[in-house]
Order: sequence, then C-alpha cells, then structure tokens
Amino acid sequence: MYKFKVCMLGAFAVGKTSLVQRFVHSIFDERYHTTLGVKIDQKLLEIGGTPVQLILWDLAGEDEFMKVRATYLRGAAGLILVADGLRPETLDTAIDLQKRFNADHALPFVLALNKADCRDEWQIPEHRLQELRTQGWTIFDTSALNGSGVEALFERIGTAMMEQA
Amino acid sequence: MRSVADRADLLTGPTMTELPERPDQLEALKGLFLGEDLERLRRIDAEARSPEERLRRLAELLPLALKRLEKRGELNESLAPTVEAVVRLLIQRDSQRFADALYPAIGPAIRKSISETIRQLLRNLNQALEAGLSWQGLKWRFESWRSGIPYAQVVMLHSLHYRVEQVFLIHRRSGILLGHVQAEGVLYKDPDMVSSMLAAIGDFVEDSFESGEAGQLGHIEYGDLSIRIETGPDVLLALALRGEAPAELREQMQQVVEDIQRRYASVLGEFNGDMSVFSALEGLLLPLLQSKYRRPSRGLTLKTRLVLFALLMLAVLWGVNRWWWNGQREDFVQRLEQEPGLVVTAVDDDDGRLSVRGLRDPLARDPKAMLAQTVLDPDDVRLDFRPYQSLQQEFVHRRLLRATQPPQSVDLRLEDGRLVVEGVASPEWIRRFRDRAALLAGAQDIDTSGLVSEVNLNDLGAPDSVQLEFDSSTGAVKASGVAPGDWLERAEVRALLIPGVRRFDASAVQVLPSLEVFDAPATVQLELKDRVLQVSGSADSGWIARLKQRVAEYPVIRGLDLQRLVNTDGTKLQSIKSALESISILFDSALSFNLTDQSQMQQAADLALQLFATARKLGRKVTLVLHGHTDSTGSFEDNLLLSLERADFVAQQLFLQGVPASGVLIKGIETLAAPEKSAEERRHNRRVSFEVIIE
Repeated sequence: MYKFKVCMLGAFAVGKTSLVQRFVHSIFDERYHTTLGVKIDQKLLEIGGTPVQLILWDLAGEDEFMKVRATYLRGAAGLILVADGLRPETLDTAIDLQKRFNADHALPFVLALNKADCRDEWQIPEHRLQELRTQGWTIFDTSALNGSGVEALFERIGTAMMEQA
Repeated sequence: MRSVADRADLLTGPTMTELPERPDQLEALKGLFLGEDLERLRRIDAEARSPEERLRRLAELLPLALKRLEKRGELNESLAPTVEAVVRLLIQRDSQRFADALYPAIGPAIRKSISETIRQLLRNLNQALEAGLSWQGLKWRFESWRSGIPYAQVVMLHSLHYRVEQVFLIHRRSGILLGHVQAEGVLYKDPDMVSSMLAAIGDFVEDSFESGEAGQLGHIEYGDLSIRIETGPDVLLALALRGEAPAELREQMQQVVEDIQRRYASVLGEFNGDMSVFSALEGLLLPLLQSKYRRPSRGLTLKTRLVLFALLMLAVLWGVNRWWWNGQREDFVQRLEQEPGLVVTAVDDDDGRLSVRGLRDPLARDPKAMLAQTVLDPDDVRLDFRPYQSLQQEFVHRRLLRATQPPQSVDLRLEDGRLVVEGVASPEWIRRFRDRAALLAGAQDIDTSGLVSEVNLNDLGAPDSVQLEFDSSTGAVKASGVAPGDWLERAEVRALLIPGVRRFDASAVQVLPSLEVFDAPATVQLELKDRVLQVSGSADSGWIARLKQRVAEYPVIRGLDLQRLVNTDGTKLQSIKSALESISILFDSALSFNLTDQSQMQQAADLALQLFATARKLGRKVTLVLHGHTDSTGSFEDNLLLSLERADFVAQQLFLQGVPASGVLIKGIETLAAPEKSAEERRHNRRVSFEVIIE
C-alpha cells in the first residue's frame, strides 16, 4: 500500500471539484473550500498490482482575491493542475501556479484541460499545448460532464509518483 | 578479522617463499615481535579460513545477537515482514498443512474468544444491572429508549470518566495517516481523510494566525469531545477522547511520539508514501486507547439495593394481593346479586370491611352460608339483609311447597311459568291446596289437571277374599277374587260414591251366592267359609238334596260340608229300625203259628212299611232280616226248621201288607238255644226278631 498526498490546483471555477467528484470518496463537502480553502477527497488505485491511495487536497481556486495557500502544498507527492478549455486565462493561471510551486519539476504533475465535451469551442490554441508538452507537460483532455480522461489522469499521476517513490 | 588474516597472510605467505631455508628463524622472529599474539593470530587465521569454524562461531553468536536485538525490540519489526512472507508462502504451498498446524491452536483460540466475548457481555450486563436499580439507571434507560443507543452504551457513556476513542498517527508534512486505532464500538469516519483535514486545519491556523515561532496544534475541544495533539519532528499524534483526560496522558503521548520518532527515524524523514514500513505501528498506538470509568457517586450498596428490591416486591405483592382480594369481594357480591331471592341494594366499604345491604326472601339461600363458601374472612364482611317476599316464580313455588306440604305422591313444579301439580293426593289435601294456592300471590297459573284425588277403598269393607284396585287413570275400581253377591252390590254403590271413582268393575269377581238362595229351614245354619258351604243343624233329606242341587249351580262354591248336618230322614229310619228291632213276634208254641200278640205283628208290619218307604225316600237301601228263634227243646235240626218256618211266616205276613219281598231276608238259628231257666225265658225264645240293616 502506498499513500500519496496530491494537490489539485487551478483557477477559480475551472471545475476541479465537479471533475473528480464521480471518481473519489468524499466525506467533507464544498463549503470547506470557502472556510478552510481545502477539501480532502480520497482515491484508490492499483498500479502494477500495488494498492495506491491518493489523498486529494482539492484547493480552492486562485483568483485575484484569493491566492492558493502554500502551506497546503507541503508534503505533496504530486500535483494536478486544472484549466478550463473555454477560458485561456485559466491556462495562464495553471502555468503560473506550476512555476510558483513546482518550477523545478520536483513533483510529478499533470494538466487537466476541462470541458473536453465542448472541445470545438475551446479557446486555447493547440500550439500552446504543444509548447507545454515539449516542456515536459502531460496534458489530459477531461470532461466533468462525461468523465472522460479522469481515470487516465489519476493513473498517470499515480504511476508517476510510484516511480519517484 | 579479514584484515588480521590478511596481515597473517602477509607474514607467513610471501615470507615463506622468500626464506624457505630458515622457517624456524622466522618463527622465532615472529615470536619476538608478536609474542603471545602470534599464537592468537594463528588461531584466528585458522578459524577465519575454516568455514566450519566460521559457522560454529556464527552459530554461537547468533542466538546472543538475537537476544540482544529482542531486548531492543527491533528484531520483531525486522523479522515481521519475513515471517509474514514465510507464512503466506506456506499457506500458498500447502494450505491444508498449515490448517492442520493451526488446528490445535484454533480451538483454544476460539474458546478464548468466546470466553472473552462472554466476559465482555457479563461486564456489560453487570454494568447495566448495577445501574439498573438506581434512579439514574432508570433515567438512562429512558434515554436509551429515546435515542436508540443500546442501554449498555448509554451506561458506559454516562459512567465514563474519560475514554480515548481514536488515535491517529499522522505524517506531519503531508498529513497522511500513518496509523490509526479506535476503541470498541466507536463510530468513526474515514481516518485518512480526517487526518488530512486535521493537518489542513493545523496548516490553516498556522497560516491565518501569526503564531510566531512554529507552533503546533495542541488541543481542540468540542463539547465533551476533545482532540489532543502531540507533535514530533515528523509526526503528529492525535487522540480523540471523551471526558477529562488525566495529566499523565500527555506524558504518555509524548513518550509514544518519541518512541515512534526514534524507531522510524529513517523512514519518517524521507517518507515516500510506502506504507509497508509502518505495519507494526498500530501496536505502539494501542496502549493509548485508554478508558476509565467512575463508579456512580451515589450508587447504592448491594445491601441497600436488595432491601429496596425487597420493598418493591412487597409493594408489588401487596398491590397484587389487594387486587385479588378486591376481585374476591366483587365476585362474592356478584354471586349475591345473582342469587334468586336476594336483592343487593347497597355495597359499601366500611372502614376496610365490605358491607352489603339488601333484601332476602326467607326461602332464599342464606347470604352468610354463601359467605362461608368463599375465601373471604367472615369478620371482614358485614351482611345486612332485610326480609321480603319475592314474587319470582321460584319463590312462589317454594312457598307453596312449604305451605301445602304435598305428599310424596304429588309433584309440584314450575314449567314454562306455570305451576304444575300432578299426582295423587287425598281429597282433603287437594282442597287445602286449592285454597292455599289461591291465597299465595303470584300463582298466575296453576295447572292441577294432573292432580287426582286419592281413593280410599277401605270404606268398602271388602272381605279378605276380595282384592280391590284403583286405576287412577280410568277412575275405575277393579274388584277381583271371591266376593259375596250382596256385598258386591253394596260395594258397587258405595264405590261410585267415592270421589274419583267413576266405575266399578267387578267382572273379575267370582260372586258368592247369598245364603238365602239355599232356603234353609230354621233348623239349619249355613256358613260360607273359604268357598265351602258349611251346613249344620238338621234337615230332611229332601232339603238336603235340593241343597246339593243349588250348590251345584254355584261353581264358586267348591265344597259342601254336611258333617254337622243331621239328616232328619236318617233319624227316622233309625227310629224305625230301633222300633222294629225292639219288636219280637212271639209264638205260642212250636206247633202253631198263632201269634201271642197280633198287635205286635201289625205294628211290625207298619214299621216295616215305613222303613222301606223312608228308605226309598232317602234313597237308602235297607234290608230287613227276620231272625227266627226257638226254644231249646228239640233237636237242632228240628229247631232250625222251625225257626225258618217261623221267620217265613212273619215274612208272609209282611208281604201281605205290601212290604217288598226283595228287602227281606230270613234267617234261622245258628245254634241251639241254651236251655232256658224259666218258662218266661222259654216263651221269649219262641220268637221272631227283626234286624234292620241300613246301607
């Protein structure tokens, strides 16, 4: 059994919570975001035959009024960045967050581009994504609506963390 | 050791090849330099080279090493994974064998588990019972019923001094739960998430409130639940407890934190998510799951409890008793009410005594007797019944019975609301009854159709030979037997005069004739005795014959007794006979048939005629024997002849008169007469005498 703390970061209202809620165990509800700024969820995986438990720290979204609390990121083994495909500024936020907290790529991380169900309407140009990929970014197209990409995302981050352990 | 051996090698090996001629000198040199050590070195070398020696050494040291490790406690941890892996392997290889190996232990293990469970159960029970009889206990029971929490748990909660419910060991930095234990029966939420949230809270507080130097979350309180936290460099120990924890707990917690930090120092510093290293951790946390109960401060001693219980039981018993006695009383009153002839007017409780007032028909059951039949104490019950007359059918009936005293042959009963009287009774009784019944109120309907007056047949004066029977259904008097006709006639008249007699049936009677029919003369007395007619007195044969005829007409007369009847005709005959026999017809002499006395002859003839006539009348046969006699003179033969002639002579005379010849016999002498003494005598012998034989 392996336990990892994984922090989920992103801009305000990118749909972090709704994205994962189908796939995780929760005992705390939304309001912890506004009070503590964090909501804890749990996800169980099996990677290479080993049970892996992800403790997800769903951090409140970053915007001009609220910044992500750095203290919450202590001891994390991995990061999940979430951006909204329909709002390019959220990608900027994600990149910024990554720079702030994980510039050295010390922690394995993935990017979830949410709203994959409306891919046609996406405002983010493909070349930007390509650019990120060349920098070593792993990007997943996800949809809170149909749940696509989420399991794969968890698998990926889980595997990455196991490799580092 | 290797280095020493190497050194030894250095000394002996190359040197040997270089100076083969003077090994002993080299030896002496070695001995000089190393002295005793050389020997030791040699020995060590020998040991080091020989695998058996190495093995031997190792074998010697291994147990000691293990022992030492055991003391430090690390051995178990180190061996644990190996042992676990081995066990798993064994099970995989041959689970049956493993099961067999475990089998002897399983039984005791199960037993132990069961006994433990039972003990726990008893403990709970004990606690529950202990609290059960106190006011507090009842309160808690109510609480348990209300909230749905099991009573034992409620008890525990209330008698808790403090109890550590959960212990969390959390990796400080990441908030990841490294170990968690909880007490029995505690509801808890997903500890992983809880511990992370706890860490988050800690972070939050640190972040939001300028705590200056690195502070640490020490204590969270929420109602009677408190979370105590002790922090180490890498870990956070959190205890969720209820109640007031003692001061020692903090120390204990610190001790545990220290312990853990020390033992897991290596893995904690560089925690990479691998949980396998923490498998033995929970063993360190378990001692922290403590609890302490306090005895209810105002609990009652067992003795007091028993006394209270006894009192309670007494109260209950008293209550039950009371209730039962009340039931008995009510029962009794009900029975009184239902008893015919009794009317209950009031039922009161008179200072604990039952008081019943009412009315009682004198012919009704005595309430006191009824009381005696119950289990109630007569002294506890007051009965006050005034007399009255019940008009209930039953009582009218009873009263009538009392008043009229019917004989056994009469049946008085109530049927469909009517009084029915049936049977046979004397007319007086019937009359009395009719009078009384009319007087006794309430006799709406008296049916006396079945009442028949008694018939007294004694008045009829029946003779013993008569049996009288009275058939009440037909009203007929039946006479049977033998009864005199005159009595019968009188009886018939008299019988019909008796009330209730409608007929007189004498068909079965054999009527005895009245004695008058026999027309008895005054000289005759007739008596009918046992159907035999007794005749006494005297009567002539004519009447006697008529009597016989008459008697024949009455077969009822079975006998005729004439023994005491003198047939006057019979007497006549006798007198004639005696008269005749007294006559002697004398002859003068032997030579003539001159009669001395002719009148005698005539007399004799008359008598003879009478004789035969009477005999004929009476139907009797008479024979007149004429005896001839002679005197003694002469020879027998001559005299015989003479006697016969004499007798014959008389006979002829008789025949001339009409005497039938058939009834006359002649007889001569049988012997010569004795010589006479006198002439008179001689004269007398010259006679004929008469002998009358009457059949």
